[in-house]
Amino acid sequence: MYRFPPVILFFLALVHTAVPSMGEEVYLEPDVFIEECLGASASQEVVWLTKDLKQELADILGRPFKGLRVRYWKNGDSTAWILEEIGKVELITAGFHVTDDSMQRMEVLIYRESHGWEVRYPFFSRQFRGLQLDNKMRLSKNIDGISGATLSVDAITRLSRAALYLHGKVASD
Amino acid sequence: MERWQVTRLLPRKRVILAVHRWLGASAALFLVVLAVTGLLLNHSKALGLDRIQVNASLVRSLYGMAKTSDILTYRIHDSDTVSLLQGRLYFNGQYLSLGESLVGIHESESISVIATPDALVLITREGELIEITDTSRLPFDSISAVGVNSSGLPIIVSSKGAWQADQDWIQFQAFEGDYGVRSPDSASLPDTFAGLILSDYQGSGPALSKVILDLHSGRLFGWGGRTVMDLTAVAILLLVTSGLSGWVRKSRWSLGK
Repeated sequence: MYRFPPVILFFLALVHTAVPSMGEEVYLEPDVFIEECLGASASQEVVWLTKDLKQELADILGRPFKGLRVRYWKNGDSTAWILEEIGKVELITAGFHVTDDSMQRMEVLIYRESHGWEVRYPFFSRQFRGLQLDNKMRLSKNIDGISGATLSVDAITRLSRAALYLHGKVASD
Repeated sequence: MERWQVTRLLPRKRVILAVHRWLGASAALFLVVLAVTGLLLNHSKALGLDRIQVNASLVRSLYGMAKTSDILTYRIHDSDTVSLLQGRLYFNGQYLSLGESLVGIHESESISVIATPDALVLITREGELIEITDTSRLPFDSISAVGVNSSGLPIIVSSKGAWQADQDWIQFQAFEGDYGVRSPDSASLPDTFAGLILSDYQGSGPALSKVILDLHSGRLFGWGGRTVMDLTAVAILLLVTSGLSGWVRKSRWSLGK
């Protein structure tokens, strides 16, 4: 009869470690991400959104973009973007580092949903390295989905397209 | 057991009828409510009750929904308003952004700023959203006030000291000089804006079928209403019992003939 409690405790511990608690989980502070990507000398800039630019962003995100400008950080030819998108019901904050129209790094910074947090793991974020936008505003490579995290994967994919698109706009100005 | 013995266990007929009468009179109103609401619920789809929304202030208060008096409103741009309801910010009744509380307002011709403890909400003179910059993207956090220095440049007061913003609110630098802080001015909210805000926050009220269901169960009036409906159900059982007992008491069968 004493064999069961340790088994139950082990199972509970397994469940506890496998399922993160609900609420806001900060995996990496945005300012740390920017410093890691661009160094301490990065300057803060904004890109003002014209009507056409807003429409393009809305097409990429699949929803109207609220706001007239987007803040970003710049150092030489590299830019960093902190963008947010709703996964299922809560916002996901992700950081994107782009150099010469090519994605250098994608990182999920803050996650607020109860499910789909697997998008923060390197096996997922590694897929974004080297991605570019083609002339139809699609990513140059397909992103493998994660079972049970489809909405979060879609949200991050949309944001990465938006970051590459915005980088292209500020680089060409 | 003989029939006459069964009959002797029952109270006198007069007592049974008195209990039946008073129980019936006391529970009548609630029985009517139970019956009518039960009938309506049985046909709620056919009657379209789930498509009718109840927006009466009494029902809103019974469901603990927000009231106009719950909306905090401040003046901006002389005649416009910024309102705050349950963590949501509104400009002239239109949703602007999330915001737990409002700690300061800075007005200018090009960019006006509404400060919450953890974000700066930048808007145009017409109230169009320019940008929401939360403190994770700023060199300071826990904003407590907004002011101006002697040159008229905006100053943000935070847990990391005072910071001066440039004209476009892009760059911020630590500020050491004198500055003045002004609390946001409270304002009255026009009824049309209040209606827009309440509608955005909580829709147009609960469905009529939901109100009827909660009236049927008594939950509309909290634990007191539920208890009354429980007692009404018990009263139905007692009425059935006293009715049958009274009938047994006066029937020929009870006389053992």
